[in-house]
Amino acid sequence: MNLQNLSAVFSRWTLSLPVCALLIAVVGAVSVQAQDDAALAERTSVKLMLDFSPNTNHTGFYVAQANGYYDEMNLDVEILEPADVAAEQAVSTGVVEFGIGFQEFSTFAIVDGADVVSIAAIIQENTSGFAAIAADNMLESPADLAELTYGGFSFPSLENAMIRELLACEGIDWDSGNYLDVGFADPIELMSRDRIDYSWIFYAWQGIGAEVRDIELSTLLLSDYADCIPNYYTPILLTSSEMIDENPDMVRAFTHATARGYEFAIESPEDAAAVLVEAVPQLDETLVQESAAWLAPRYQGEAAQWGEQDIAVWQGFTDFLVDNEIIEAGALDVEAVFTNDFLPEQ
Amino acid sequence: MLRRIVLWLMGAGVAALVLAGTAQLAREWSAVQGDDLQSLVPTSAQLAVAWDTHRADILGVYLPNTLRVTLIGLAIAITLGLLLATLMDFFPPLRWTLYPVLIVSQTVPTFAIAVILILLFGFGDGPKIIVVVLFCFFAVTTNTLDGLRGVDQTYVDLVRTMGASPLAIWWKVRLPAALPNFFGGVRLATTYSVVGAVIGEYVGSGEGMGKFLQRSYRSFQTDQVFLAVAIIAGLSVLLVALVTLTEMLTLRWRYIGQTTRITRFIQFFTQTDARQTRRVPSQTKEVIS
Repeated sequence: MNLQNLSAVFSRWTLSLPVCALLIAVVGAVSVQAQDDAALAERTSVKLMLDFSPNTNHTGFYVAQANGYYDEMNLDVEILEPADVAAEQAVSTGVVEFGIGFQEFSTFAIVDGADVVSIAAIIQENTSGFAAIAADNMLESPADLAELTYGGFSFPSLENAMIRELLACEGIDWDSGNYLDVGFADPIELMSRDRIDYSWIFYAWQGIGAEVRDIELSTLLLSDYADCIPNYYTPILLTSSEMIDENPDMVRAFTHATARGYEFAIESPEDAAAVLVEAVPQLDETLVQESAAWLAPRYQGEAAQWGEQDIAVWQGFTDFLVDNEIIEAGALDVEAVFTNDFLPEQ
Repeated sequence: MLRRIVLWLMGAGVAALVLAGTAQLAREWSAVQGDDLQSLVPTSAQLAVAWDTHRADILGVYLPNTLRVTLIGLAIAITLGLLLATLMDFFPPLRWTLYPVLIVSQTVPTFAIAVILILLFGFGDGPKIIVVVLFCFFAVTTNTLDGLRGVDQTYVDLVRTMGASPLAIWWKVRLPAALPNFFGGVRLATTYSVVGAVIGEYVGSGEGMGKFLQRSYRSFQTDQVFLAVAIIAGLSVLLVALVTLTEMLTLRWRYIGQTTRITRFIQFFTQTDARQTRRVPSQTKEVIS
């Protein structure tokens, strides 16, 4: 080893000294943070019901589970996957303490009398969008949708309202088009076989899932048309008002630990993705990695902290539903359906 | 008996080959038609890779969980089916009132009662076992009841003139006569049972083949989906084979007595002693003894 190299090594070492100091300070701060005063005095078991099979929308919960954040709060969390049970129903009846829903479907459930309250927005921006296969139908603007066949999931009132509004913003008068109910069959597969032209997908999972399979999509993300269709939270973390009244400390402990899980997913998407794949080995690792990277900046978005909900978002989308006659005016008390009270910095 | 099982397995092998060949033909055909099925139907090599990747989890966790629920559910369904059939055979009013209820029980979609099942039985094996029972007991009940009702009246009359009690008549005449029907029902029930356990997981939770299937489908892992389907199908075939074996052992008199084309075919290969197979059916003998 010659002198030049040695000096280089030396200078690297001296340089890293302050870095070390900083690291110690950060680690210290983190371990202080870990002593969250929201931790419960007694060991408590809770159940969380997902909205769908595990995917990158849920990474924070799996991280909080695997990294022991729930454990530190004295919580035993069981993560349940639904299929035949809507999370709103499970939360409302009290068979689970927490569930994951979507603003639109939770709104419908609440209007129908379900007792659910949103305690965190898992992703700030709506990551869904209308997608077609690029080689078949390039979607330059919503106007391109007018003549195409849409593959829907049995909710035409809502789905058609979305498309109608997008087209109205383009100055096109459109009532309804070719709607083909395909249930929950994989829309990308149906598109690549020309059974449908376009569908409404979650870009972070289905869109990136298509990319991973080398299918190029043309997507109109709803977040790019927020002026036209107001942004809404999808997915959201739910509990019941009964749970909030009876055991607010437990709700707070769970939300704090979950927020930590999402903060980890925001800062270290690769490690967070690895945690998810480890917990659910059936998932496609490439898809999980790419999706985690895409979502990392979007979980918190522009909000002051992860999970924060803005009444303007709840009000804006509720007005949209009322304007489109999907729900009645006054059916939803916007101030009662969500709360930021259980997030860490409240 | 062993030879028969070997033959049966050979038959299953031939059937598997025919199926595989047909699937391959369909793929070739669709390729010619320009509709590529590759992404929908994985190749056997892809299946092998998926199996290698997940073998430990499947054999250690998913399959045992599904098998446990299947067997417990099936056992309850068979017991319940037999019990209901017996009660309905003994008490005609019960037959009239219960039959419609049983039919209704078969028309309720599982998702409609999912929350009720969870409220009643929690998230453990309970709801899944109930779904298996719901899927399976009906076939046992109706088939057994048909068997009990269809017994040859001359046998009943004969034993009655000998002074047998109703219970003895049931035990010595009606039940043995209904056994072939009963096994027919059990075979049907067994066919449904594994898929019942898989669907049961969609209601509750747990780590079984249903969850493996669902997670794989929803992360677009077609090879894993088909692997799960193949395993579920394999398990069903195996269980039905076991039921058939039990049936052959229980109803020896019936199988030995038969000289159908199939048994002659089997004899040709197994060179079973002709005198043994020509023995008179022993049903009447058993009844009298």
